[in-house]
Amino acid sequence: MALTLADVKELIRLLSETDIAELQLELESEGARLTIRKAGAFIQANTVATGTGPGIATGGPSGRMAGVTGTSTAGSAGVELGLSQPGGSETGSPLPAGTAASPRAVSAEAAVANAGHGAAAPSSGGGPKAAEAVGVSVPPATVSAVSSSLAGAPVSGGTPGAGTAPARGDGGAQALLADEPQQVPVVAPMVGTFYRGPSPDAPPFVEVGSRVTAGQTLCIIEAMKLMNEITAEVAGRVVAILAEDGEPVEYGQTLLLIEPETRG
Amino acid sequence: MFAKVLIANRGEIAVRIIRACQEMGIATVAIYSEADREALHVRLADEAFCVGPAPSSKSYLNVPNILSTALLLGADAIHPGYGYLSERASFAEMCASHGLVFIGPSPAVMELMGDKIAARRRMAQAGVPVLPGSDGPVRSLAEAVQVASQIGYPVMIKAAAGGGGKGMRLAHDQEELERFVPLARAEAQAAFGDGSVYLEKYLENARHIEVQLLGDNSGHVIHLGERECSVQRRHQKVLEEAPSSLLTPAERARLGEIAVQGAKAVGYTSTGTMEFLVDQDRHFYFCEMNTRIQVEHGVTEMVAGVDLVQEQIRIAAGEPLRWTQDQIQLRGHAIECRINAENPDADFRPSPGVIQFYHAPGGYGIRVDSHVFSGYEVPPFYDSLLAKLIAWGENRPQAIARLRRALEEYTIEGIETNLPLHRRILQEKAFQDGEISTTWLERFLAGAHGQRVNGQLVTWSADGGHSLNTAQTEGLVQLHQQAG
Repeated sequence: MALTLADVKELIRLLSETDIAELQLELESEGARLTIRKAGAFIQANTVATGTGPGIATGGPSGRMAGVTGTSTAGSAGVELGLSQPGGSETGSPLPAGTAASPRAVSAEAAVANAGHGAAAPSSGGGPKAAEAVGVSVPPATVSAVSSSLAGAPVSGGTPGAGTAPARGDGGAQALLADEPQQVPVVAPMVGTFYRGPSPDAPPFVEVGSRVTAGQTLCIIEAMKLMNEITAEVAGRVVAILAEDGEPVEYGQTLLLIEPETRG
Repeated sequence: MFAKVLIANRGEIAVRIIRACQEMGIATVAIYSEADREALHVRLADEAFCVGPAPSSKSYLNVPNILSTALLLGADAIHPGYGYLSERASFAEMCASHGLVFIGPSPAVMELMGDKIAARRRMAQAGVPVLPGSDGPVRSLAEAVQVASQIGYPVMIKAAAGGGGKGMRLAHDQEELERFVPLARAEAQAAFGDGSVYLEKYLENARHIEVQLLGDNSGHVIHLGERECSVQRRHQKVLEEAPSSLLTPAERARLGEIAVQGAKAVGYTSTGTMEFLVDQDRHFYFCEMNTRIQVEHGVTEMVAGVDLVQEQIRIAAGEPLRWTQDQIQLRGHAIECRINAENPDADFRPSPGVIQFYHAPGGYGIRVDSHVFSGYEVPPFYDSLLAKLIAWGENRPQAIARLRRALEEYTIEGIETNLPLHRRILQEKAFQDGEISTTWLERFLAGAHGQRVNGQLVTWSADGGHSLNTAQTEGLVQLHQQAG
């Protein structure tokens, strides 16, 4: 698929500006399928990726929703984005990293609120800001959380949980790790600046795919001029790094996902 | 002026401050606990950052995380609201050492006024009348007994670090004094980490009247008249109004002058409130000074036509006051009801939960400061204030009539609130006549609570038809017939 995230966002933007009330667009290439659906309901982007590489789930930072009740506003356009691989996986037990054709289903939900385009923003009532957040994964990509916020807000990541992350009405991105009960989120224990390595020049402590042992340093959060090393609670493999190097992270924000070592 | 302000608070006051900033073109950063993810202040602010789990001690009082957030997101200043960090001098100092402006008075003044004993002394020196009491903390029970016998019972035992009614005990005689001093000490120690207590003469049927002050950085201090907050329950204000129904214009001017004199003596800047008790002979005595914006600031705004939060921000940014005392003209009368998530029929037990339906009143002269909405879940972790309903009228009777109309219209379903209590207070002749004191509401509640009908505790007669629920209606009618 030659589409980049920027292309997808541009597509969504164009779609939300058009007069087309409902539309389903499907693009297929190189084993991946992109589905974009525009409907008259609340805007939602669903990304489903089945890949050959490491599973990816990127809950984009949540866009705080405009509007108080979290329900859709009449007249707002909805855009649904789906990205999947035909013949993609059923649920399956996770296979080791890098195994080609290991069927892994990971889905991420992100709210796409395109502020500035009245038709697409879930609220046009002034005041509350709509932010844009897109969670996308493109196999066999390296993991990255891609987000942008019109409000300029460093905002919270979704909480990946074993398919139990409750849907929130705040338009927040939720990484719903279907069939991935084993992934363990590493969350920020404090507000601070996230660093992947011990110094700007040094290599990162870990990369996606790195095997880690319990107690191993994964990253640093700098708070009040103190460097706080964040260590792994379990041994396993890093399957996602969700925070950006050098960016502020809030309390409880998911920084990395670790897939614990499987026994037997 | 600041480009970006972090609001270190939650609930209605965070919303209030965000609104003020928005009108001034200042970007806002909200902080929130994990329990407040859905809160209105989080949604209204330009940016929001989670600073900790639900308990306030780990989130809204988490100084390292709050300061980190301010620094990381590039805020110039922190507005503490009321409660939480608003009167913590050490926090104001930490802000300064990190290059952040604390929107409030100087740490030195906060520290002085935060020590109620030191504040009493300083105000007495400045010529502000204070209640007879102990010169400093009472070090022993024997000293307490001696002081009490000098000033005469009843005496109030108060915590030096006090506020919010904590560590306060009323002793009517020596036996009670000996029992309550150790209790008050323990309570103060637990609440404030400082067990020092002092004694003050207790005034029976006193009225709580406080003066709103504004001071800038060049020593200019003005007052914006007084508020009366005599309608209280367990030292918690329930309903406030401006102006007081007691004071004459001459008394108002005199009280304002004295308060300004006290504030100038300590170099007060920012918004602040000097609280007084007024006895039956209309003598007034300084109680304490609150070095922050107060919950009930809205009633003053309504009669003075001044946005106190915006002025507070301007002063913190170094701007001079925009008015002289002569330019402050008070107009009309404003009354505020604190709408709490509590059950007045069950000893005011907090009532957290989901608000299934919410409708706030409106119309001319009505103002509602609130952070709640239909579907909002009132978390059990924080105080129970849901909204402040304020009615303005050309005079007190018109404000009362307007407030009664608004209270009728106010609908909050799904949780218990004290709306019925406010409706009852407003229709009470004693209140309408301004015959109130700091003990009035509790006496009123004791009388009204005394009767059980059909096993239901009945709060009041069915006069206005404000039964708390339909199950009680029959009992209420019976009670009414008995009373009639």
